[in-house]
Amino acid sequence: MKGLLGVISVILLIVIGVGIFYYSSYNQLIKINEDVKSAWSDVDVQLKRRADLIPNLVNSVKGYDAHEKEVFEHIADARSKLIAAKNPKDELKANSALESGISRLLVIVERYPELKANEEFTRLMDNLEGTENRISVARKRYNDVVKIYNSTILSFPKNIIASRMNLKPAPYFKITAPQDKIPPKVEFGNGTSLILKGSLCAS
Amino acid sequence: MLKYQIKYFLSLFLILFAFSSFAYDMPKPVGFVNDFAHIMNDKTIKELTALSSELEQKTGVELVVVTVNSVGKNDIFDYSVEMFQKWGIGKKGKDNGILFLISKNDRKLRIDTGYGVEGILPDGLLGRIRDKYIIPYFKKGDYDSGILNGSIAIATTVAKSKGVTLNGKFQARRAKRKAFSLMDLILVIAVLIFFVPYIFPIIFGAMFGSYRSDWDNSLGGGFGDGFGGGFGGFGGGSTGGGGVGGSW
Repeated sequence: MKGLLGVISVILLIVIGVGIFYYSSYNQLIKINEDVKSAWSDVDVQLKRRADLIPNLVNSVKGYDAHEKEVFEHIADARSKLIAAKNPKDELKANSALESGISRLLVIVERYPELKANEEFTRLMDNLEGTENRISVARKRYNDVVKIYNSTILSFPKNIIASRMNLKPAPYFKITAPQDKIPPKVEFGNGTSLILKGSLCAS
Repeated sequence: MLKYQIKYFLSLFLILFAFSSFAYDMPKPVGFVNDFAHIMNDKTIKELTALSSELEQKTGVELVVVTVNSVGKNDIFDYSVEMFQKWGIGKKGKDNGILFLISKNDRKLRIDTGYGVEGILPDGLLGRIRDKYIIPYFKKGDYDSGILNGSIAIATTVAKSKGVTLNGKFQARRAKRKAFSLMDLILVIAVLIFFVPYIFPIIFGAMFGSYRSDWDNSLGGGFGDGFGGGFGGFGGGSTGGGGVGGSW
């Protein structure tokens, strides 16, 4: 009789133990999932903010060189895709296309010193560079939480709970196209320069 | 046996040492004004401290000025964000901090803003302040005026948007293109010729009378011992990477 009681109490303890583990893991997974969503929202805000500055940038350049239609169209297309994106993966893809378009646009800017010296254009560049910096900070913070989230939901035993909760790995914010690896740098007369930080770092 | 243990601990010590040198060599704050590169004179430091103190008291915004000799191999943007986060500039939750960092040997500066003040100090506006009140002075080697006028411009912009006024008679001044022009000379001579008959009695009167200047009280009154014994730290705010950079 005693033996049976002992076995039952051990089984009970195990069941309670697993229950507690499941409960705390569930809460942790909810939390880190929210962390990723919140960090992504910061990234999204900055990407959209940059997208808002793009039309002004394009118009400034068009004023000096209207022939580069292909670049302008590429940018307009990438921009509308970014704004319409419904999930991080699509938005990151559109962002990559937009960044390569901006690189090419800045190469065009290099050819027009009068444009670079224009005060309004300098303001625009300050705003754009500021946004690039913000994207770089938001991207780093996002990738940091994604790392925690992905490694948690993929490792045993929490991966069992995670898949029951239907949690999928989140995409890292990194560059996909190899030609974007070299950051373009535009120097302006007043000592500032614009570096596309977004296209610099991998993961 | 002992020799082996010594070697072990020595290598452990060296490894720890190596890891600690990976981190940014970040100094600790001493107050609102941190002139680690010693490029400002005492008067400027006092005025700046009074400016930041009053701004913080009236608006809660923390304006911190830091000068360093160099940021080493680091990018000044990364360094400034790291410093902003480590020092926790601005009130927690409000994120209303501003870091004005000057790296003397690198000839680079950064003005970083927390999310809470980005609306008041957008990048374009900061760029204009930088180009109008800071860089022209720095190019002449006048760090005191550049830092002071830039900070005044920033602080008064914040104060204005919050509907308060700073009483310390702060006025940002643009750098003059030339120290003294011919027009200035003619003007001074004309003024002297006109006023000489009136000035003499005043000068002689001052020598015997009790002529008091009330400029003594306008700056720094009551802020004297604000950071006397060890600095308590900032409000714990953070930055999203906003702001502008510059070089001269």
